[in-house]
Amino acid sequence: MHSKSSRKEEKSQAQKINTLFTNYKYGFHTDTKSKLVIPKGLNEKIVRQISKIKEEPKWMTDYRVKAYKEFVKRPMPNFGPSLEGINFDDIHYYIRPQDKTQNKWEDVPAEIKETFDRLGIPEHEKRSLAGSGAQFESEMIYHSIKESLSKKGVIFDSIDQGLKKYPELFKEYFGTIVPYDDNKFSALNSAVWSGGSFIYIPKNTYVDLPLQAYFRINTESMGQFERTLIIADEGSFLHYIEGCTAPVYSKDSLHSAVVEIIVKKNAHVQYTTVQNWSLNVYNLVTKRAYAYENAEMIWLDCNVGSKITMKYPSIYLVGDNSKGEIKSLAMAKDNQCQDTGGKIIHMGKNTTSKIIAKSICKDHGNASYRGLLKATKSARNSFNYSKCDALILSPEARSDTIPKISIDDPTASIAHEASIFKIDDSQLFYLMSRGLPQDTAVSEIVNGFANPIVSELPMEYAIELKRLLEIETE
Amino acid sequence: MTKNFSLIITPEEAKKLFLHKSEPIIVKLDKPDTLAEILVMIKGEKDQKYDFAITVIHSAPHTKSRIYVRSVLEGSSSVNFAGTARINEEADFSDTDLSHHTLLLSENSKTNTLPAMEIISNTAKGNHAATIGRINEEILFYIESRGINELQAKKLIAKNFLKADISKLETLKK
Repeated sequence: MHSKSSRKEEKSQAQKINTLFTNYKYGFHTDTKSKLVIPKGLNEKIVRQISKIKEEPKWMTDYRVKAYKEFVKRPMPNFGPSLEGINFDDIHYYIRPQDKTQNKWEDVPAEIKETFDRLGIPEHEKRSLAGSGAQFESEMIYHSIKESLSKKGVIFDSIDQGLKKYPELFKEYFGTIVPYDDNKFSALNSAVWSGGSFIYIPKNTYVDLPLQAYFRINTESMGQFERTLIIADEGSFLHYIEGCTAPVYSKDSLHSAVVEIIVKKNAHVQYTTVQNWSLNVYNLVTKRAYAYENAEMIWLDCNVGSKITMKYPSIYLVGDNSKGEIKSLAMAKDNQCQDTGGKIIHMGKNTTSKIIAKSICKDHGNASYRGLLKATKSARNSFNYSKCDALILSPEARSDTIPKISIDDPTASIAHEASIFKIDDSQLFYLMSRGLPQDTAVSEIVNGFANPIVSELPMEYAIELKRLLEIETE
Repeated sequence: MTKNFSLIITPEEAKKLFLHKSEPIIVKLDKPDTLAEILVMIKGEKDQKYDFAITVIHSAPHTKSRIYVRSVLEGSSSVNFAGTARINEEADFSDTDLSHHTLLLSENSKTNTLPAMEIISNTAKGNHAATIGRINEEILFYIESRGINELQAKKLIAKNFLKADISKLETLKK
């Protein structure tokens, strides 16, 4: 706990920082009392400031500055949907609602608690979810790990605490899977990251309950630059769930996360996402995993919300006999654009992978699949099966399928298929002749189409997503 | 039915047309009820580099396109193929099918495939498929057990692999 004097100190520090910037403005959506607000926009000074507030070691400050310079230098991506709507000068790059990450529910302020109550966080925990890290604005504020997990040596902490408590482990892996100069948005995240999870699973440890983190954006024009680092040591097992919901704002918001996962020999990691940002969020995410010998990595990615999503979870099958799987579901309505897909790179011998992508588009929505499948010369007997299906529900909707396949391994066996179709009138007639109204019939068909992905989700998410799809297709 | 279009590119023609960077083939289907079929057979050997693109644009209702590409690669040959099928809003009830199948016979052969679809009509149907593989050992064994030596057997398999899509061409059936 904080002593009174240190609190006072921080408060005065906060005041000092605020007076540093003349154009400082409050722009809150709710009455949450954020104690520290850095003005909108980004420059080297702000990057250094963020690092200073977080009391980071010098190497991290340097890393952030280096990343910021890369971000400025890099052009915007030359593919996919238009990102012209993003005004980088009109975004808050750092806010934190509380001074400390808390462990006890009672200590969480009432107004924030209310938000979480609506999201069902305590219930989730009651239902014996192993640990519950909840992100409100920029930082983990509520974080608890069941004792049994701590006893096993599992680390499930906010990424900021990870850097403080386990500096060596952190430095060894941070930025190794997604380097800061990977793309423009990984550079932005590397410069201003805050919040996210830090997970380490020791050797031969089986985490039998899924770990969960709930994310939420709550301040207008607030960018969330969450960063997650997961290290699954040899022979371990982990299922991590990330779910997102956010209220609707009038101004555009930016969410640019980086997720790095290291799956060591014989380990198994599944990363599940249910993304339901409000319709004004730009969701530009870099997610990547390295799978070593005999390891298995699964991405389960469901995208329902946001204005524009560009997300291509990747798996590098580095070790021999490693396995990768990407299951993706995207739903685009109104003027949404879901530019999703996946990338798999076969590098080790006898590696296998599977991609199943389903997309649904409606109104003026655009749901696309953009993928890369690569087998390098070093890969032998690599095997892949990928299947992309798209369902178009209205005349104005649009669906693109762009899978790139690049094979240098002559012993590879690769099969890809894609199909785009609409709801068949005969199917609709059949259901309606059985007494279902048209709306219900359509949503039943949509649910049936999405079922191979939805059924893979844990129960409460499957129900939530099914309900969401029903609402979306109404 | 109005005028249908079919194009068969044999391995010899492919050699003339697609070696090194070539101009993209663009097929525009702007009359209703038309069918376009393109069949490409590629036999890559030595250090040949095939690089080509085929784009089909549907802009009239009830149009159909079929693109079948097959390549057999030997030596250090490689294929770079980008196939795009686009069905515009006005092309209701149109239908596209694109496939690229590759048989890799040697250690250094390479392939790059980009089969893309852009569908802006909700009454349209689209399919594409791509496979990459080598000769199935079981099939090879079967043929060899019938008294044909390995080299001959491989040639036989490769030849039939290339020709496999010809029977699908509707314009030839009539």
